Amino acid sequence: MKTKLTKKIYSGNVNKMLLILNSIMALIYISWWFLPGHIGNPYLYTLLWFGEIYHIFMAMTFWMTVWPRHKQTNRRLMQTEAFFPSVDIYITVAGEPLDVIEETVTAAKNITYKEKNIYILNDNFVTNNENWKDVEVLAKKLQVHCITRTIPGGAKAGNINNALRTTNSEFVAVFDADMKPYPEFLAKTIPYFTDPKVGFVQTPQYYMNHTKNEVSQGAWDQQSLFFGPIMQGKDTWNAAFICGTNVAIRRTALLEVGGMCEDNIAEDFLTSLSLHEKGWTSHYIRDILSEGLAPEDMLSYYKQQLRWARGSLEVLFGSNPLFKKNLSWEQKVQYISSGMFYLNGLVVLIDIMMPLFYLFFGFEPVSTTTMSFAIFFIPFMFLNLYTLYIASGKDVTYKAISFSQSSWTLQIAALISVLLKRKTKFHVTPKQAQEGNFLFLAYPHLAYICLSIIATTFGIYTYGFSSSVSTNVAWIFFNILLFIPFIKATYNWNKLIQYTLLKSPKFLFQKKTLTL
Amino acid sequence: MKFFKKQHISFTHILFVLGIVIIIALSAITLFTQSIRLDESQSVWLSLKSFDEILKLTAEDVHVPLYGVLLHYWMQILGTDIVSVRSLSFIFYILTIPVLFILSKEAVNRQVAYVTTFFFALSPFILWYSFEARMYSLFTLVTCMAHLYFMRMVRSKGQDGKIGYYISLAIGIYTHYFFLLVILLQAIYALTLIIQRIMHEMKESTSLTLQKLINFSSIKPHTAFKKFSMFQYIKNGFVYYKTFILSYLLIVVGALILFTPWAYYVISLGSASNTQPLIPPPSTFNLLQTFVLIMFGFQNEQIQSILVSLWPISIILLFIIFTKRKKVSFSNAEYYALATFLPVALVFMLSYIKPIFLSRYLIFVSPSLFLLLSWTLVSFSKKIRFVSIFGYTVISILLLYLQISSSQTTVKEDYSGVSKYLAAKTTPSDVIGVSSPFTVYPIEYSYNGHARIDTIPQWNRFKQGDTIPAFSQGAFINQIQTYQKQYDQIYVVLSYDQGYEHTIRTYLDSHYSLTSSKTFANGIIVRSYKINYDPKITLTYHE
Repeated sequence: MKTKLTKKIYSGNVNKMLLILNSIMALIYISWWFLPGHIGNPYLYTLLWFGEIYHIFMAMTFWMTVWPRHKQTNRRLMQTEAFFPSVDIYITVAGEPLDVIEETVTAAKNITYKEKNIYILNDNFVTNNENWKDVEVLAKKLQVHCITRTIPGGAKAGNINNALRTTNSEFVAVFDADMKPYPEFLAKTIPYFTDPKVGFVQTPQYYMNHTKNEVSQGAWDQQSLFFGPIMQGKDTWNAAFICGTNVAIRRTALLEVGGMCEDNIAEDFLTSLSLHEKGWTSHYIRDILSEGLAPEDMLSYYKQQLRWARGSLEVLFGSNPLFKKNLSWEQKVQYISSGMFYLNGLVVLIDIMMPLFYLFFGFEPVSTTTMSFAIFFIPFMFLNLYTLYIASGKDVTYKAISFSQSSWTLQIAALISVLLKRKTKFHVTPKQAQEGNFLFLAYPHLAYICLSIIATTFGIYTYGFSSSVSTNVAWIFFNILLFIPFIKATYNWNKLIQYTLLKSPKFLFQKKTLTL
Repeated sequence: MKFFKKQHISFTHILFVLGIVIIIALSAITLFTQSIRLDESQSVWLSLKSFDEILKLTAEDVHVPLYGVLLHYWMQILGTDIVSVRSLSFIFYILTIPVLFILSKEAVNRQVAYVTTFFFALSPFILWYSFEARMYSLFTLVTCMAHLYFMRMVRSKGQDGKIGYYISLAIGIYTHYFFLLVILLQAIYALTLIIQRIMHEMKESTSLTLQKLINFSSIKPHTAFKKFSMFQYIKNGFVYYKTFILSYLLIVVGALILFTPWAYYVISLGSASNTQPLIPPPSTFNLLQTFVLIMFGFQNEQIQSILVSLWPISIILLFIIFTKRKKVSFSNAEYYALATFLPVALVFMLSYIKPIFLSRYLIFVSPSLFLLLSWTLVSFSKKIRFVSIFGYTVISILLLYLQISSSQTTVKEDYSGVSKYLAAKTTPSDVIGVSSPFTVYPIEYSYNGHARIDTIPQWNRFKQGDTIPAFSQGAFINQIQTYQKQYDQIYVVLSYDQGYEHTIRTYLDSHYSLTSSKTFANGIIVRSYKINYDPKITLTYHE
C-alpha cells in the first residue's frame, strides 16, 4: 500500500561550533561599541548603541532557539498504548465565505479519528454578519454542530471559551475557518497527550496559495521561517506557543488557565504563556497537517501583521514573561524574544535615519573611520546571515527578510497604540485578494527614498564626494534595496505602466482606507 | 577540446572570445609600453646575472627563484627590451584563462565559467600584473592549477589529478613564498573533510542505534555512543578517504622535500638582505582595499577611498548569497570562500608581527574571488543577473581605462620619464643621487645620459652580498662633500621614502641653491642643486 508522505517545514541543523563562533564574534563586535573614543554625536550614538544591543540580544536568543537539542518524547508509549480520547474540533467562523467554511468542515469530517465531534463556532451573529443563519444551515447540511454566540466579547478567544462551556470532550482541536485539516491531524497530534503533562500540540500553518502573488509568497516566506527553525527551536525549550489555529489542546489544561485569554488580541500567545506558567508542557510538530490561505493583498497582510505585532507588544508591556514566577529562565527568554521581535521597527527606523542625519546635518554617531567599524561588522553579519541560512534549511528568502525589515511602519504603529493603550478591534484576515491600490502602505518607504535622493544631493553638494558621504550613500542604497520587494508587493506596477500612465492617472491615487 | 567543436560554437562563445581579445589587445597596446617600474627593473637586473648569482641574490631577497631563472633564459632568447621582458608574464596570464575556465566549469557550470573568466580577463588589477615583469601572473596561474587539481583529487577521493597537483605544488612553491598559504588552506580543507566524515560516521551510527532502540527497547540514546570508540569513528573516517589522504600527503610531503634544498640554502646564507622596501603595518583600510583592488584595479587615491567606503553594499551581497534563490550548484563553495578570505585574514594578522601585507602578494586569491562573485551574480534572477553582470563589466572597463590613462594611478612609476628628463638635463659634470638606493634599478635601466649615477646612502650593488647600508647623516654629508670636489650639480631622485628623505631634502635645501624641481607620477621627485661654482671638471665628452 502506498502511503502519502507528510510534508514538513524545512529547517536545518546548526552546528554548535558555528553558534559558539557566532557568540564570540557578537561579543567582539559589541565590544567595539563600548570602546571609548568612538562616540560622535552622543544622542545618535546612544540611539544606535541601543539598536545594536537589541540586535545582539535578538541574535543571541535566535542562536539559543536553534541550539541543537534533543527533546525527549515518549515515543514508545505513543506508539504502543491505545489512546483514543474524545476530541472536539472547533472551526472558528467570523465572516468567512460559506464555501471556505464548507471546505474546512468537509476536511474536518475526513479526519481519520473515531471519537471526534465537529463544531462550527459561529461568531457571525455577534459580528453583525448577515449570513449568520446561513452558517447554521450549512452546519445542518454537513451534519455537524453549530454554536452561534449571542453575547459578544473576547473576539476569537471569547468564541472558543463559549464553546468550551457547551462541549465536553477531553481534547479540543482548533482550526480557523480557512484552515483545512488533513485526515491524519488527530492521529499525529493526540498521541503526544499520552504524557499527562502535555497541555497542547501545535502544528504549522501552511499557506497553499503561497505561490499566487508577491504578497502571499512574502507572507509564506516569513511564515516558513517562523514555523521552521524558530518554532522547532522553541519546542526544544518547551516554549512553543499556540498560534491560534491547527492546534490540539487538553481541555483540563485550558480550563485551568480560565480558557483562552480574552484580554489580548494575541489570545493564543498569552494563553500559551499561562499554560506554561501552570507547568503544562507543549509540543510543536513540523509535519504539515492542515492547509490554509495566506493574505493575498498588502492590506490584508498589513492588518494581520499589525494584529500580531500589537498582541505581542501588549504581552511584553502588560504581562511581561520576565516576571512570571513559574516559568523557567529559558521559557522567559523565548517568550521575551518573541514579544521583542516587534520592537524591530523602532530599531530599523533608527538605523535608516542615521545616513540622513549625516548628509543633512553632518551629525556622525561614531567618530572613528568606517573601515574600523567594517572590520568588526562584516564578519559578524557574515556569520549571522550564514547561521540563519543554515537554520532555515537554506530556505530563507530575501523577500522574507525584506518584508520583516519593511514592516517597521506597522511595528511602530503597533508600539504607539500599545503605549497609548488604544483599543483595537479584531478583524479576520480576508481570504481573497482585496482589489485596490495599497501603495499608501509604502508611502513611508517611498518618502524615505525621496528624502534619501535629496539628502544625497545635498550631502555631495555640501561635503563633496568624500568617503564619508559615499559610505552613507551606500547605507541608504542598502536600506532601499531591502525595501524594494515590499514596495513592489504593494502595487501592481505592470498595471501602472499599462493603464495608469496611458489611460487614467486617477487610478494611482485611489486608495483603500485602513481600518483595524 | 569540446569547446572548439562546431556544434558548441554559439553567439556566447564568439562574444566571449571577442570581448576578451579586444580588451587584451587594447590593454596590451598601452600596458606593454608603460615605463619600467622599480620591481621590474630589479627583475631584469637580477635575471641578467648568471644562474648561480640569481639563486644567491634571490635567496638574499624575499623571493623564490623560479621566475628569475625563467626570465633569465627568456631574455637570452628575446632580449631585454621592456616589451620582451613583460611578455613572459603576459603568456602566464593567457594560460590562466583556460585553466580558470575549466576550474570554474568543474566547480559550478559553464555559464559561471564564462563569467568568471571574463571578469578575470578584464580585471584592471589582473591586467596590470599581466604586463609586469614580475612573478605575479605566474603565481596566479599556478594557484589556479593547484585549485583545479586539488579539487579533482577531492572529488575523486584521490583517484584523479595527482600528477597535475604535484606539478602545480612544485612550481608554486618556487614561484612565491605566499604559495605556502595555498598549501596551508588546502591542508585545512582536507582536514575539515576528514573531520566532517568522522562526524558523519558518528551521526549515522547514532541514528542507526537510535532507530534500533526505538523499535526494540526503551530510549536511552547515550548508551548508543558507548558501543563505538572514538578511535573507530576516526578510523572509519580515514578509511573513507584512504586513497585521498595517502596521495595528498605523499604529494605535499614530496613538494616540501623539493623545497628543502632552497630553504636550507636561504638559511645557510643568513638573514635576508634589506633590499626590500619598507612595508608599513596594514590598517583596516588596507584589508578592505585588497578586495577592492582585485575587483576594480589601481585608481587614484580619491577613487580608491570612495570604492572602499562603499563597503556596506557588500552586506547586501551577503543577504543575497545567504538567501534562497536560483539554484546554481557550487560544489565545495566553502573551499573557494576559504581560499579567498583566509589568506588575506592570515596575512593581515601576521603583518602585526612582521609587515608583509601587500596587495600584489595576495593576487592568488583573485581566481576564487572572481569565481565566488560570478556564482553570486549568475544565481540572480534573469533581469538582475543581466544588469549586475553588465554593470560590473562596464565599471571594470571604465576603471581599466582610468587605470591606464590617469597619471594619478597610485602604482604608476614613471622612472622612464625621470630618466628621459635626467638624460636631457644632465652632463658629465653632474652627479645623480638616487634615494632610496634600490630605486636605482629602473633609472639605470632607462637612463642613457652621461652623468654618474650613485645612491644615497652609497651602496655597492655590484658587489655580491653587499646589502644597503643604514642611512647616517654624517656619511651623507661626507658623500655630498666628496661630490663637491668633482661635480657642479647634483640631481637627487627621491622616491620610496625609507624614513630619511626629509633629512636629505632639508640638508640640501639649507646648504645649496636649488636649481630645478620636478614631480613625476606617484610622487617621484627630482631636485637639482648647484654644489660647486668653480667647476673642476673641464673634460668634454665625445661620442
